[in-house]
Order: sequence, then structure tokens, then C-alpha cells
Amino acid sequence: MIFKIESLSLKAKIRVLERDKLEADLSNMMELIHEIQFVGTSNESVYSYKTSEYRDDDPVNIIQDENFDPFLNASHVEDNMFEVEGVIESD
Amino acid sequence: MIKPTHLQLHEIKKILADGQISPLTLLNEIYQEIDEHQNLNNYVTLTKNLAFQQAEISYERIKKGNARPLEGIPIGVKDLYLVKGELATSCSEVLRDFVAPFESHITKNLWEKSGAICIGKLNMDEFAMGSSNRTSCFGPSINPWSIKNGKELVPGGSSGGSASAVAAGTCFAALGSDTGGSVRQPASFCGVVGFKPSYGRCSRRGMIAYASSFDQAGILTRSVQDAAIMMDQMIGNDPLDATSAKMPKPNLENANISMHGKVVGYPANWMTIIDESVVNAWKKALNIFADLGAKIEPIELLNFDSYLSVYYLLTTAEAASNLARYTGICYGNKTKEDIGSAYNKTFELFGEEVKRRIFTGLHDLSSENYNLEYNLGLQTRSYIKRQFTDLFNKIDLIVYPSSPREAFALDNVFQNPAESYHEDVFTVLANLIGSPAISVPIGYGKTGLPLGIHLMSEPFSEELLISAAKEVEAKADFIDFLRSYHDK
Amino acid sequence: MTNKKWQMVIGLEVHAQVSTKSKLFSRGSTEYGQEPNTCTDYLDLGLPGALPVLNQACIRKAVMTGHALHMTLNQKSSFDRKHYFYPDLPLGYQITQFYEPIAQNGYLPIWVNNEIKNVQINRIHLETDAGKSIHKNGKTYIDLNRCGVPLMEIVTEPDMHGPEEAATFLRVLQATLKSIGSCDGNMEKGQLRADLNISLHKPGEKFGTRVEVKNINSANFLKKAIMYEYERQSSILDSGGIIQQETRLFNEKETIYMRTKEDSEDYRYMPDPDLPPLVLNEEELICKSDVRLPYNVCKEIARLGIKLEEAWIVAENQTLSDIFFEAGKGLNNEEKLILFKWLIGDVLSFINKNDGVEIDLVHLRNLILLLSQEKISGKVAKDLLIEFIETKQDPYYIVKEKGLEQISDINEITKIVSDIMQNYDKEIAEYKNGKDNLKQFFIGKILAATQGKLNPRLTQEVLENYLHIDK
Repeated sequence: MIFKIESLSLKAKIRVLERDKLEADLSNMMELIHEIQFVGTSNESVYSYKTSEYRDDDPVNIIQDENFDPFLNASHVEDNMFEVEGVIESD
Repeated sequence: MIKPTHLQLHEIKKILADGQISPLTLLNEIYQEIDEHQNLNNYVTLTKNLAFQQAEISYERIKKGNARPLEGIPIGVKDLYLVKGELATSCSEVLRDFVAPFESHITKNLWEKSGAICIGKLNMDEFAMGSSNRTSCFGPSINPWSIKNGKELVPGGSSGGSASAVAAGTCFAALGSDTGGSVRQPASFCGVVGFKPSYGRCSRRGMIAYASSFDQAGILTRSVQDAAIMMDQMIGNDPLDATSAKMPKPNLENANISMHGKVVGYPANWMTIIDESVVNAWKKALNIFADLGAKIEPIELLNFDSYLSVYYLLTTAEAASNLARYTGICYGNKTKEDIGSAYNKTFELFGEEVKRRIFTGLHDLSSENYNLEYNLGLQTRSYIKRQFTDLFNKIDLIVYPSSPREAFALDNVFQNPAESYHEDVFTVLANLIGSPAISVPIGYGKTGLPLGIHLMSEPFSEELLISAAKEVEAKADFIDFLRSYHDK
Repeated sequence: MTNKKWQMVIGLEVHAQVSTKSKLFSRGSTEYGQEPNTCTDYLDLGLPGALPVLNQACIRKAVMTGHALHMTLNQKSSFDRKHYFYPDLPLGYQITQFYEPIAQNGYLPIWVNNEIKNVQINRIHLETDAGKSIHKNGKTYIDLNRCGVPLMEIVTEPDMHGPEEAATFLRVLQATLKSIGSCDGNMEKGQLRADLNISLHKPGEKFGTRVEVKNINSANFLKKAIMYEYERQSSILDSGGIIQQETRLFNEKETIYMRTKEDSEDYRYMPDPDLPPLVLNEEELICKSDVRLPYNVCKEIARLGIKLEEAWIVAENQTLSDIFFEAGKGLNNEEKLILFKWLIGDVLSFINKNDGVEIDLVHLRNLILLLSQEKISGKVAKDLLIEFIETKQDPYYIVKEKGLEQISDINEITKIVSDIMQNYDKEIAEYKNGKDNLKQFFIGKILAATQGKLNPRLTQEVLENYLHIDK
């Protein structure tokens, strides 16, 4: 099995240090995963129970009501905004 | 006399309610136990301030005679539950300094409605990915049964710290979570009860996700009755979890459904490929049911790898997606190393196993593979679900071992990832089909370490499952760790 | 502007903010203009353990929109994760409906050269908006108030062929969404934004390569962007070049290169495992708005013999079209025509000058009846309009009280006209010597002397006769 490791690495934004090992591990995992072809398929829903699908359109200010601090774990905050490390080009 | 900390949850519940021991005294004793068992590396955070505040309230309530169902009972919490104001790390470097800004639905109810006491956060595999608790950024949790052969053993995983702490008597119950067996397999390794209810029974809100459509809260205790008492307080619909079930709550504490005439199925084709000592324990369980008047029937299931393949395909993809949020902007640690702008400094901190699963998930989800991989996974899961819906029309209970083996040595090395994934062979099935399942200690393996028997029933039939588990427990001649080594 | 050589094909992807108080999947407020990061819920920050739950109002409004756009509503739809990394997307994915959208296959009636055209719509899906990146002092800051705000993406087929047509589509869509209350349509607040897909081909040949232009937030900018792209692409094609499949950005003047297809990301769409499929019950499926839809109003007014484009002035204005239908009750087509002309004239300018004014529509109808029965002149009617609104009195009453009734008796008019004209012998003589423009002078004098009470048509007739006889 050939993996596009470079492409996966960029997609994931995760650096790959031991390319060969990762390649071997992924091959090994995919070998197991490919057993799936021999099972069978169906299109039925896996939800066999009634779920909590909706919520009413009621805004909640959790900063007031639940004493929430959005910046509790943020490393850089300025003027109530999260600062991003490095300059990000506009999308 | 048995130490109060070594009692079972239902026993201490009575003693607390009767005022024979103050919640504050008990809490002090628990922290002393924890201190004495530091070598097990079970607690990654102690929440002493919170615990003593809660214990004060419990003390007052018991005195005034309005005790709540779990008033004053010290509980350990797997470190993927958010307890507001406390660290919640999922045992990952990424979240090592993460302070929970809100409280999980389950723990909120346990503290506020049920009166339980939060003593600390328990070790686990990083983001719940692992079966031996060795992927934790805090180092492995150790199985107390290591005493037996003088060799350090894993407690199983991913709720390894939870199982080990319960077995060692450093809490009366521990919250775990179960995505593919993360409560049941460590329960089996540590000789305790591990119970996962049906998918949708407990709210997942405030639990750090691994694979959303598989994750379910679970509980580890020293008896089935304790698990039932705890789960009665944990189950309930949460309108803020869209997958939470709107179903009537069961009454597990009083569950007492007769096994007489029930049909117990066992996958006969699995019996030939596992170790003899494990097969013997399995047969013992089947005999218990036969003696109770149940009808024992062989059933045919697919080979292990069929279920494992679907499980690993879908969970790695969900994990890759769920972990995309650790971008390091609103929260999360970053590496100090300069790794270049193409890579994320927070993702860099994921452990090897987590990265491996993210890569696998990305591979399955990428557009060129979607239909051959991920979508096929969804359809195959649906097929398996269908098969079991049919099966449960004929069979009440499916019984087989919780794990193919006893706890293994901490230094045991897996040859490759797939070999380690085979730790989950028996447990992933319940998560694939959303069934409730429980591991109950049934006996010992060839090196004298605990073995659990795994019971599974159709979704939302917890009362039947717990009734069956109570029966097995009563007839299994198993002596737990505390009674084997401390309270003989 | 377009030459015959290249024909253009246009498709639009319109992002309309669903008008709700809270976000699509989180309880955060959607209120505009709040302090940064104060309208955030746990999910909007992408916190671990945060879960999405669907806002019911979004479903209702999407279904209503689907019906208004003649679409097939899907009983079962589902939500998918679209993955990409950007700082203003804390979850690392947007929640959208890729595989199974809530509505498919419909159309919106618009007009092209006074002909009705049904622009085909491919799908509507619900999705979350991203947050806002603010760039200053060489740094980037993130405000997540917008993150998770509900959007309906309305995707047309490549079914439009010119800038006017596309702009009309956007205007009709905007008015339609506003009328049913599914989107407030305020483009300044970013509540309606469009991405443009445009390609050029020679007549009779297959479609050319499509270019996507992002970030267009008004009908005028849409026209500009289309014209700019047309010029850009046709000049490339004319010089023998080929069009790259690429994404461009519109900066209100020109479109600029953003990325090519090859750079485009693999979004790794997957059904969101936190959200069970959305299955609508019968009641939810038939949820329709009972308001008059602007395009129907437009068609109805046009049947009076008015151009669609002109009819749209009333149709797109909720107040005017309400007035048109209420005041128009019981009126015949001729009377409705008068009503329409008054609406886009004096009534509209009065409303524009007097915000929130209440107009008694029975009184307005009576004014139209007085006009159509020629009981008052247009000049009287202009003053009467203001007077009956301000005094809240019935125009019939005012006309009677003040004796404003128009004189339509030919004999009486003849007498009045000859009385007045006696004072202008000199001018009459000049007129007869060929100074034709003095006719307007006479009419002015007659109108002034009678406060506009004479039937203008008859007065004109009588004056002609008067001048003619003596000639």
C-alpha cells in the first residue's frame, strides 16, 4: 500500500520525522482495516432510538450565566481577541 | 476490621448515611490511601479544595437528614471529563495545562444532584487511544496486581488509571469512558467491574471526544451493585447532546430479572482460537447461566478482524476530525521548537499513537478514498447493526471473555499497531452496535491474574444486563485485589 | 458591453444568514456589533467536550425558503464536517450539508427583458459561518462572534447569462428571503453574500472553464465583478489564451487571483458523528410562509400592463405591496393602475419623508376612486393625499367640506373658461399670430383661477374650442 505521506502530513499539518516507520505502521493498520471488504453493507440508520435533535432558538450568554471566561486558556489575548502566532494571510 | 476505604460503594453509602463515619474523615482516609499508592501513578490531579468543599456540604446534609443518593462518596474521574476550574488533560501534552472552563453533564449531576465527591483526575491513554495506559503523557498507570508476580503490569486501557484506582481502593468508583472497550478491558485486567451502558444513555457533553459515535461514559467499581448504583445517577437524557437518548431511565440498583428461560448465546467459533485458561473461565460463566435455567446456545459471529476493521476505520477517521480542534489558538500548548509554518505547533505535541491514528483517519477520509474506505465503513457498521438486531430477537444475552488474556507486562512490546489493536477484539462489538456491556471478574488466568467475563445485551436493556451480571458475580469464585492482599 | 463572440454562463452561490437569535448549533447570540468574543458558546471556541445541537428555528426557516424557491424538501438530510485549518475556524471544520442537503431542485422567477425567467436552483444547505480575522500591526486577531452563525447556502445552476440578469436574481432573492423572514438581507452586515461562477464560450459550443469569484456583497458589485471578469476572460480568449480554473477575490473594483484548483484543499467531508440525521415530520415539511412573495406580487402587478422591472418597485417593498393589495381591494384594473402609479410616485415619496407613517388604506382607496371617477383633479389629489393622512379624515369628506370637487360639467367649464379668457385679449391675438406656447400660459391661468378644480381633460377640450372658434 502506497501512502501519500507528504500530502497527508501537509493536510494534517503534522510533521513526519520517521517516514519509513509511519509508512510501515499505516500499511499494517490498513491491512487490518481492509478486512472490512468481506463483511457486508447496508444503508440503515445506526440510531435505533429517539434523539435530542433540536434546541429552541434561545440565546444564552454563558459569560454572564455560567461565569465563562473565553480567554481562560488562551496564550495571547489583546482587546478581547485571540492573537494568532505569526501573520496569517487572508482567506 | 476492613478499612472504610476498602469497603464497596454500597457499603460505605450505608455507613455514611448512618453517620458512622463523617464524609470529611473518609475523605482524609482516601487521600491517605492515594498517598500510599503513588507508585501506581493513577491520579494525575488531586482536586482537594473541591473535594473538601463538597465534603463539608455532604456532612451538613447528612446531619440534617437530607442526604442525596451518593452523599459523601469519594469518586475518581478519568481525566477526559471536564470538572470546571480543574485541569482536564486527556493525558496529552497538548492539554497538559488546560483548565476546564465548564463542567461535564455527568460530573455536574454527580456532584450537585447525587452528592458524590470529586477526589481527583485519573490517568488514561492519551485521548483514550490505547489499551495499556502507556500512551499517557504522565507515564503509565500500574496495575496493583503487579504484586502477584513481582513484575510491573499494565492496568489495561484506556481507563487504566480508573480501573487500577478502584482495584487498589483509592476510590469507591471511578468514571471511565468506553470507545472500544476502554472500561471493560482494564476492568478485566484489574479484577473489577467495568460497565458501559448503551450508546446515548449518558451525555457526552463535557467529555473530551475520541470518536463521537462510539464514545460512551462508563463506570468502574468493585461490585456489580456499585456499578448499578452509580449508573442510575449517570444515565439520563441531555437536551444539549444531540445523540443523547430520550428513553425512560432504568432502575439498575433494583434490577432483578430472572435468568430462567433466557437465551444466552456464545460465539462458538471464537472458542477454538483463544487460550485454554480463558476458555475455561468462559465455560464457567456459561455453566452459571445454565444452572440458573437459561438456555445456552452457540451462535456464529464474524471473525475478530471483521469487527476490528470497521472499528478502526471509523474511529480513526472520527478521531482525526475531533482532534482537528487542537489548533493552539483559543487554548492548548505549543512546542517551543521551530518546526516551520507548514506544521502546527500544537499538533506537534500529540503522541505517536495519536498521530498514527490521525494519519490513518485522514487517509480514509480523503476524497479519493472516501467511498472505498470511510463510507464503506459506515455501511458495514450499519450491516453489523442489522445483523445484531436480528440476533437479539432470538438471543437475550451474548457471553464471551472480556479480553483474550490477562494483564501483560509493562515492558511488553507490540510488534506493530495491529497487534496492539487486537487487545480490543472482544470489546469493540458493543460500541459498533451501541449495546450495553459489562465486564465482571470471573476467575484467574494461567498466571493467576484476573479475567473478566463480558456480557452484552440489546441496546437499552441495561436492567437485564445488570441482573445477569449480579448473578455471575455471586457465583464466580473470584476474590478481588483488596481482599486477596489486604483484608484476608 | 458584451460582444457577440463570447457568451457568458453565470452561476451563483449565495450565503444568506438565517435570521435567528442564536447560532446554528450553539447557544451564542447572533446579535450584530457586540464586543469581540462575547457572543461565544463553548462550541464556537472549539473547546473539547463541546457539542452541537441544532437550532429548530433554522430548520423552519430553511424549509420555508425551500418552499418559496419551489424546491423539493428532503425529509431526511444530514450534517457533514468540512475540514480545513484556518484561525477563525476553531473546530478545524465547518458543519455543513454536503451529502444530503435540506432542499434540492427549485427555481426563482425573475425577469429578463420584461420576460419571466425561472432561474434554476440546485440546492439549499445549512451551514455555519466562520469567525473574523482582524489584521493589524502585522498581527492577526480572532473574533469568534460570527463563528457558528447560521447560513443558508443557496446554489443556482449555471443558468444566467448577463450582469443584469444576475443582479436581478440577487435582488429578487434578497426580497424573497426578507419577505418570508428567513434572512434579514442586510448586505452591510454581511447577511447576504455571493460567490460568482462565470465562464465564457462561443455560441453553440460547450461551456468554457469556470472561474469562481468570492466575496461579493451587493447587486451592483455583482454586476461590476461580472463585467470585469467578462473583459478579463474574453481578452485572454481573444488573444488565444486559455482560462485557468481558479478562485478569485473581488475587492469592489477588480477580481484578483487567490488560488488555482490544484491548490484547493481536500475538505475530507464526513457525516458529523455528533449530529444524528435530520428527519423532518409531516408538519415540519409543509412549514410555509403565508406572506405574498415579491415575485408573485411583481407578476400580478405586471398583468395590469406594467413592465416587470417597474412593478418590482412595489413588489420588493413590503410596505408598498401591502398597501397595493389592501387599498386595491375591490378596485378594477384601471383603478389599480392609478393606484400603482400613485404608489411609486407621491405615496412612496411621502413614506420616504415620513418614516413609520400610518396610512388609512380605505381613505387611500377612496382617493383613487375620486381620481378615477374624475371627481378631483390630479393636482387636488396631491394635496389631498397629504391632508387625509395628516388629518385622518376620509377624502370624500374633505372634498365635500372644502368644495374641492372637480367641475366636469361642460357648460359650466365653458362659462368659466370664457370668463377668464376675456382678460387676455392681447395674448389671444398673439397666440393666433402663431405664438403657440401661450396655450400653456392660458392653462396655467385657468388652473390658478380655479384652484385646479376643473376637469383638466375637459378644460383642455374647451380651451381648444375657444381658441379655435375665434381663429
